[in-house]
Amino acid sequence: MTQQPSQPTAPDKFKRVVDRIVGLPTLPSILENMNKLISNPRTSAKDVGRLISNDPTITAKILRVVNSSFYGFSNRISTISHAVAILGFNTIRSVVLSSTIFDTFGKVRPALPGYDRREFWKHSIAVGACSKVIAGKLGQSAKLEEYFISGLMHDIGKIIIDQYLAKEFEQILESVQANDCLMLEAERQVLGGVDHADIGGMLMERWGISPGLTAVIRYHHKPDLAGQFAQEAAVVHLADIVVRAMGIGSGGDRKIPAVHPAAWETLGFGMKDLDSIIEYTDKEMENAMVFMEFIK
Amino acid sequence: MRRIHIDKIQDGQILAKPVVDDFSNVILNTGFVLSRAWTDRLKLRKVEFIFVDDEAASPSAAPATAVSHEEKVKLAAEVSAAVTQQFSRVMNDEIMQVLAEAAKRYRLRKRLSGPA
Repeated sequence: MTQQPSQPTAPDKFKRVVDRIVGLPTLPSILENMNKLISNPRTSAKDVGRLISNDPTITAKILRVVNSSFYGFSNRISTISHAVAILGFNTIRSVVLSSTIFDTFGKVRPALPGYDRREFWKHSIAVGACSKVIAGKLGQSAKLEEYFISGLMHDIGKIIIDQYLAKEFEQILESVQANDCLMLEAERQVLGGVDHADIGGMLMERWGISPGLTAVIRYHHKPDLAGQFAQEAAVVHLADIVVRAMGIGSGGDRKIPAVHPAAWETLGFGMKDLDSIIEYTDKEMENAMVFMEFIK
Repeated sequence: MRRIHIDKIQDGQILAKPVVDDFSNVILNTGFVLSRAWTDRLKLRKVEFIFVDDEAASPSAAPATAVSHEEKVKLAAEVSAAVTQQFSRVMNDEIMQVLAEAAKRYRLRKRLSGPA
């Protein structure tokens, strides 16, 4: 009797997909060095400023963002040290992270049928803006930047599939077009149960990004599994759905998923809050559009 | 393209040249659709004149009141159809029903006031 090969388990499938992603970018050295610096309690704003100033591209981006209406400072900030002193280590780390993300992944190639990469970034920026609005409603004013970055990066796994699994990405887009399904569903079908959230979470882990941001990226479609980061995941989960409803940008599909009941319960909002979230996201989006300048 | 004073800007006009500050930082880029909120911000930055594109005037350059009742009804139907299609799989969910209605109101408002 011939022995049947055993069916691959979910982790096996995931590993097979990940193994095919060759040449995944490593953590940009500026982030790695910055994490080391910030973890040292004796580090000063000048130390961080000196590190960032070594990278003229990131320096220019940071100064552009901190002088934009996104932050709304009345006086011009002309040096990185000044920016670090005003914004604080955590916010500046978020700004550096977003700048390096755009630097690493923000090169827009020609549109594919059913997928416009500029619209993808517009969607991501809007989810960042909406996450910030929702976090504000929850009284998380000290962590607004982290929420913005979480929203901005929530779909980073899609970029990985787009750039490193190009053939599968085209199959996914074809499946979305043919079945008018969610991108997430098409990804699982084509990649054997793996989706962009799994892949994004894997990249964040490889990069040694904070467990909170990693969990948000991994569980933004399954916020009930985010454990101690349930609120963070719920915020980005709702922001993704609200932005889809508003029709800002495109994540690659035309359908919308339902808000997960656990996320809705975690956030504790009422139905009336949806209108104000939409209204404030629209306003916040005007400020956040400065990030579209970084798309090449 | 013509140069106009900041006080003469109408909602929906399109920027024909970037607006820069005293340090040559771009405040707004070519193609930006101007609004009253942005006009006020430019005034705070002491910007007096800007260049706008006459020929590519945005639909919102016309005041909202110029949209006829028939046009509004047509737009509302288009928005409603698009949202209904997008939400077709989740309309049995109470939260999504409320979100769909909020999305319709928002999208219609955006369509009436300028490009989304």
